[in-house]
Amino acid sequence: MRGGIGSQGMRPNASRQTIPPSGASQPDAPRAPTLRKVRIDPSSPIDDADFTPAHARHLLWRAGFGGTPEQIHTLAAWGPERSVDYLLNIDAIPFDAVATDVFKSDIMRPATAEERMAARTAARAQDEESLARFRVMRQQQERADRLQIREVQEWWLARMVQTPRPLEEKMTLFWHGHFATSYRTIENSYHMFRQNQLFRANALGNFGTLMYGIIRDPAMLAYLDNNDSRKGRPNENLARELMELFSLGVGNYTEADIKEGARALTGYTFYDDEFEFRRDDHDNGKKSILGRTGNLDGDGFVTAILEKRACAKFMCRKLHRYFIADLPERERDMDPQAKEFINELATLMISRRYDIKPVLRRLLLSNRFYAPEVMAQQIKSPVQLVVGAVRSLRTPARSLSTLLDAMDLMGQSILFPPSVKGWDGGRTWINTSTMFVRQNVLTYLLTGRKPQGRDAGASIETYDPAFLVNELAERDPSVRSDTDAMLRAMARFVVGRDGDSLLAPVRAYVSGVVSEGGSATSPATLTGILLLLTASPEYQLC
Amino acid sequence: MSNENRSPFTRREFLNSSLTFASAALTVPSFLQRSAFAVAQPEPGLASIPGVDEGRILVVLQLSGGNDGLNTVVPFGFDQYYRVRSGIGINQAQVLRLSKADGVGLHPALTGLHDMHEEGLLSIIQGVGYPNPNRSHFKSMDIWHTAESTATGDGWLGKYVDSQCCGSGKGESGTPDPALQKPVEPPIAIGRTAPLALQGRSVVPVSFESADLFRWTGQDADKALADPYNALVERGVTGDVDSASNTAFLMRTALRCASLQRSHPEGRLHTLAR
Repeated sequence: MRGGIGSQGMRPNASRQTIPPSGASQPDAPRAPTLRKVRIDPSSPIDDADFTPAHARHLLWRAGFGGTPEQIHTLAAWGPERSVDYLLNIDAIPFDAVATDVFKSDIMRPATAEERMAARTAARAQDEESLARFRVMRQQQERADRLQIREVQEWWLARMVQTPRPLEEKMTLFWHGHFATSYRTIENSYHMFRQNQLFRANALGNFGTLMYGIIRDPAMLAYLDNNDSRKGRPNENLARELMELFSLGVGNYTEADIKEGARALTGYTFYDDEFEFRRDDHDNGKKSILGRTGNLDGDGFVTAILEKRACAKFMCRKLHRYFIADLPERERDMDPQAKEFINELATLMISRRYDIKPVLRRLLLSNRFYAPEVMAQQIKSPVQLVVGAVRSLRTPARSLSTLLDAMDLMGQSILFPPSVKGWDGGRTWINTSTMFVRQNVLTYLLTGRKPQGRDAGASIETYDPAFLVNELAERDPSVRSDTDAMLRAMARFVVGRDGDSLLAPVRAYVSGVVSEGGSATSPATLTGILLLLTASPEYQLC
Repeated sequence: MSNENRSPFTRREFLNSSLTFASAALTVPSFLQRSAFAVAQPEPGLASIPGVDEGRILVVLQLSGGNDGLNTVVPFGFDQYYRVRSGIGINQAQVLRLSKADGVGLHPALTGLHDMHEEGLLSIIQGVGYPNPNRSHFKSMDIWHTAESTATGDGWLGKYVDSQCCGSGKGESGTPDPALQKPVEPPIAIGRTAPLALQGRSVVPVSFESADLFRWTGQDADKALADPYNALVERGVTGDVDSASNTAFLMRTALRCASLQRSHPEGRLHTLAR
């Protein structure tokens, strides 16, 4: 199981593309740093000349799940535009399509007419024996389905680890957190898989398509109770979250819009695995939603939302939080530059009719994305931590099941978000408990020792970090001859910084080993160095 | 509750007076007000007991989700209840009557709680809320956790612990008095994250699901890693780091982990957790 992009199409020594000079900048005339600082426009594109391996490392972490030294050096050589376009144009990167029959679709199938009849007859006749048999069958189905959802989780985790298109999975995860739906409520693993496929198919596609799709998605319809929403007694859950969480944000709609929106969504339900529009349950009356009036259905409701500029701004703020940095919840609390940048992105999003790719391209090439206060300042989600460690350090993935358990303890169980709001992220990932799990899951990946200390040695696959040193030495030969240069290069690669306060304990460890007659570059010592670096508070950032 | 109401209270006074705020200050139906008074006068055993050490452990269980309050604590003595719940009201004869409350009783299934109440071990506070409830699922939970209608600021339990540690040590809120500060056990949340209700300003909650996890396993790979690891996590916030940054936040948390491990050796956390 290896991170793919190094081996699939990206080669080191790739010839540098000629980048047309961007706008007013003069690539040939480097300015003094202080002068640059004043002149730099945070929303303008990053200069080719400013794109260092540190920037490439940053891009790989944020637009993916981190990269190996070789991948970092490749992107650094390519420059920002070619790198960003490579990551964005996922269709150009060959990868197996997901087979639709990977998972069983009929574990939780609805009862057939005959089965329903048999159950009714048994109930009427008070045939306890048959009723008990039906109950046991139902329990067996539920048990089989819980096993299958575990398989879906493992499958997705493996895909994130293996994919040569990291941004596709990163955006699939974004949509999963955005349109958050939990298996815990809907108890249908196949519907969760189908929803995951909807997100993947539109990962870098169009937000409007996703909105029209989500009001037809069986998992979402069940999660927010829309399958019970009928004319005369509409359920407001989906209408409320569609605006509050999925598109506009609080303050951009009224309670009346929710009530009317709920009426527009009546009759939107599903049977078995497919969406169904039940005409008889749909409220055909006149509705007025967000200023749009008429006999609106779910599509009319979504269109009314998409016509609001607030929707584009809400989505751009959310993308900014996911890829760049947190923003205040209220627009008036944002600094003027952030406000201007969000406005610019929103204008672009609207002009491209909610296509995501041009917006992401703008965002990933902006100086704002590469600002010093942004780089290595995002707290890794448990997914980023685990998948990023396996991909960048190329540790064995060991047991996916153990990794899922650890991610659960760290507060992120994929396909089981805590609520329809998804994961809050940021500092809420961190507390005294999750901190230890975060450090210990790295111990597990690097050594095979279980996070809980018990039944250690469950995974005996050894890990040899020598390749890291080799790849780092390709760029900086002193890594091989000078132990301290090696430590600094490793710290820059693993943690993204090489300050003395971080390195002092690592130096103390290595000199202790050497003074006892050990080698600074033996697999055991290199593993020890990685254990320390990954246990540092700074490692939690990317 | 507005700031003017912040005068020193004993715990008993606080419990009593907070009912007044909850019921009288807000727009709630009158039978809820009355039942709040009627049911929830705390027995002496439930509030501070003079002469008894207050070093007891307060356990708060929060059951998140929906509850049909009027069919849990049933105002069977009020006609209005049966008028608005003609189909689902609980029959007077089935209600478990509370000897200390007129016209209010418990759902027939709550026999255990009923026994506890009759023994003086259970108190019920009704009518806690605010006018025009916010119907956002998330805002309304934040309001509940902060006990502020703006849903901003610290959690209600966090404020309590802060005042225990930084006020006069008697559970009274007010300006922190350093002379009276005393160390308190951090509040412990059993779960993956501490709820907003527990977030205070001075005392940060500890949360964990299992106390077994409170240890770095990297040192098992090589004992020589233990000291460098301690040095690494005990740096605190280093001089080159902006104290408002995420880096500083993580350095502070790592330091807290390290000091918790040191100050609670061998099972102390286990005991607290259990």
